[in-house]
Amino acid sequence: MSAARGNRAPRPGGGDRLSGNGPVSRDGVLNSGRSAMEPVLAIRDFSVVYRTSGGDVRAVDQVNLDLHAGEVVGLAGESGSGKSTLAYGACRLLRAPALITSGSVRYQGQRMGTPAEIMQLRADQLKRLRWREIAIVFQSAMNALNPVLNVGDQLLDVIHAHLRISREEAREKAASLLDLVGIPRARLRSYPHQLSGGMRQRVMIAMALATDPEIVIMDEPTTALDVVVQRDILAQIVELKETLNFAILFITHDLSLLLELADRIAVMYAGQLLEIGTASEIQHESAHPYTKGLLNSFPSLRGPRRELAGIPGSPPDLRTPSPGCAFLPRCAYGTDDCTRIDMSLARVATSPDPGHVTACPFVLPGTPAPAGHTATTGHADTTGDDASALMASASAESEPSHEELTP
Amino acid sequence: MSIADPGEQPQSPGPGPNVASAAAGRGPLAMEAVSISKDFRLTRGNTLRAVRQVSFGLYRGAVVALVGESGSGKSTVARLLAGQEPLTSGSIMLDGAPIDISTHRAFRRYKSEVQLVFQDPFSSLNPVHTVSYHLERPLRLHQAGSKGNGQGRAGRPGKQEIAALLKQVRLTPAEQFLPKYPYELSGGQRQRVSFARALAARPSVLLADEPVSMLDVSIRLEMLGLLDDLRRDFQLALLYITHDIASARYFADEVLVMYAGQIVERGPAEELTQHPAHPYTQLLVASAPDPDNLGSTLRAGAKRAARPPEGASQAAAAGCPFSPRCPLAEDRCRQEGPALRRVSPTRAAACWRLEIAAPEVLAGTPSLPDHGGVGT
Repeated sequence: MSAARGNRAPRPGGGDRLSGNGPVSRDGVLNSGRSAMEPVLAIRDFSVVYRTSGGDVRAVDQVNLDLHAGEVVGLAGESGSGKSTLAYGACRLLRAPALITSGSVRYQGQRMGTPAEIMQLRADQLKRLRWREIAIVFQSAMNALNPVLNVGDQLLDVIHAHLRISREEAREKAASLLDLVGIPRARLRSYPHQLSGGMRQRVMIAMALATDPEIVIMDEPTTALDVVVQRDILAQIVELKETLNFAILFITHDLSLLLELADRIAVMYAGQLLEIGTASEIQHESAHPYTKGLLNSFPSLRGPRRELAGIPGSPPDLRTPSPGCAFLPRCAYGTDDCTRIDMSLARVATSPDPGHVTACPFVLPGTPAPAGHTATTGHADTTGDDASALMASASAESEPSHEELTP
Repeated sequence: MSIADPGEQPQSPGPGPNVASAAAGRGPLAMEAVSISKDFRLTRGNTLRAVRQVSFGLYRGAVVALVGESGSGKSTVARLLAGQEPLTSGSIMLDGAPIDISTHRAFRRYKSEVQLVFQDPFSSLNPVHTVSYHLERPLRLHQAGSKGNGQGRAGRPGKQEIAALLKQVRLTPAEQFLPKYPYELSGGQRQRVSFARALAARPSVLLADEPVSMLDVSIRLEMLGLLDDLRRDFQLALLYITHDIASARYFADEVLVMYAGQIVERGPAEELTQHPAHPYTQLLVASAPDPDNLGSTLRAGAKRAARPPEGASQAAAAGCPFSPRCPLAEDRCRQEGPALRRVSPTRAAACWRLEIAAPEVLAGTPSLPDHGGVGT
């Protein structure tokens, strides 16, 4: 595995190679009792490639990630970073040309006596695991719901396929699921096109919860929705999670949303995890340059107007991975040493939390960006997609500002 | 949006209050929408009033942001301004004169002044044509005629002109991109081609309909930066349509908040986002993800109260369109629609209950928090 990746560069402070071990509460203190518990889902050394005529695309590359009961883990990354492939791959929902090349995914549910190794399950065992134990809320509710069946029939379909209960009970269950997500029971007879986008997404969530799963994977469940509806649905998800105590793997490209929602956040880039930490650690003490860049990429509505820098360049071609760090071409901190590191996660030396891990051995939370890469306004005549286009806040310089408006 | 009887009276009378646009300081007025409305006829005599008496100005070198949720009518406004849809009422002025798109030739002349950039770079470029073709065509159509650049009417635009366009949107080396097809480009590169295509007509007004919302977060900022450079370099009057009010804060001079086809609030970007006056704007601002919150409001379920009652997404047919969702709504709000009302020399809001909703805005100048002045 990692031997093939070249020599490992020394890390300041050293560290273990674990990926975010143990549930950690927001204040960084280990939750007593829970810390001893096995994770409900343990992904180890997991790799997926897409076989193409132009070579293998390494979509997920040796990922380690744990999910504990009742925990919200956010998986943040750009499109093409492999976050959906990782989640679907862990449930073996991928088909050719995707190929799982290595790794193990161990599921330990409360209803199961012994842990299940998902990679080795037979088809009938997989069928029992999916939805019953691990359910998925897909991104686009418009496409995921069947347009010619009403909501009730679709819910009943799920219930009958996975639970052995009578018709009457199933009907009652379907209705109570709608209650759960705040949709009137009368809507059981509605067809998807008669529902608003937010209601359709709620129906998707109700379907995922139909079998009382232990893990719910949510793949961009609110991306297509308006902010007001999005917030409403997120509040609903949090509330349901508190009541039903399932774990959530929340996939999104919107880091700002995860900072608010997730207990822990894993940042993914080019098929690899670059950093894992609690939401607070990611926000205030982010260690990896990519995380720092992401945090500086979205305009905030509150607080001071910051100088936003964004991340120059675009994600790498996964068919021809370059040695060392995949983020190097876009990294402000990059040095020659970066081509020689392996990308395993190690504890952030300055962090009291052993669960805060980063793939970058050189940059620490406090490390200032090297000179020449600090955000400046004024676009030199740089060229190409690699141009380091830095957007100053709304063209601050040399033009009338907003102050003039206050008499 | 309301589905109303066609015979119903319009709610907000007049073109709006006498409020100076926060964008006016940047340059001369390029385009003006004067009380424009658009009704779509639905079945059974029902009418969808997609845009209702919307008035605003676009100024050279300035960015006006139109913010609203999906279905609020913001894209319809862009289509109206672009001349893609006939107006139901109102008028659009370009450089002080009402627009004329009655003939094919007049329409083309209009299009060379006013260009539209679409949201989805994956579907707005023709998959069977190269980048070169996408840029050559508008150059030939728009620059040969009225604007005259030394080339004959039928003259093929030179490679140099196309390369110059690509350089403006920072797609270089141009020779590398010219023969490429859209599928060979990343989302960001495609959107750059869209920008270049719009610039080929040398417009004075650029209508950008969610230009970055389909792009990755790490690319968005760069694209907005590019758009901002183009605005400055070409003195473009830019209409930036978005659902992301935070990006409007950073990018725009003036923000117009649209709800159910009406502008419910307008004002300078920083003031409006920091001190929203209209209850809808307040809800919008409160709903934006706030990393500093660390889940507190989500966890407490504090925002649950804001959930609209069943069917409330259809705005009230009578009265204020926001009244079914508004925590402050009273009887008057449900009966009579408020018109935009001036709350400061540069701000206006359409709400009967501003005294309760935003007393500090009404009381005069809410002091903008002093944040050390970065970028303001």
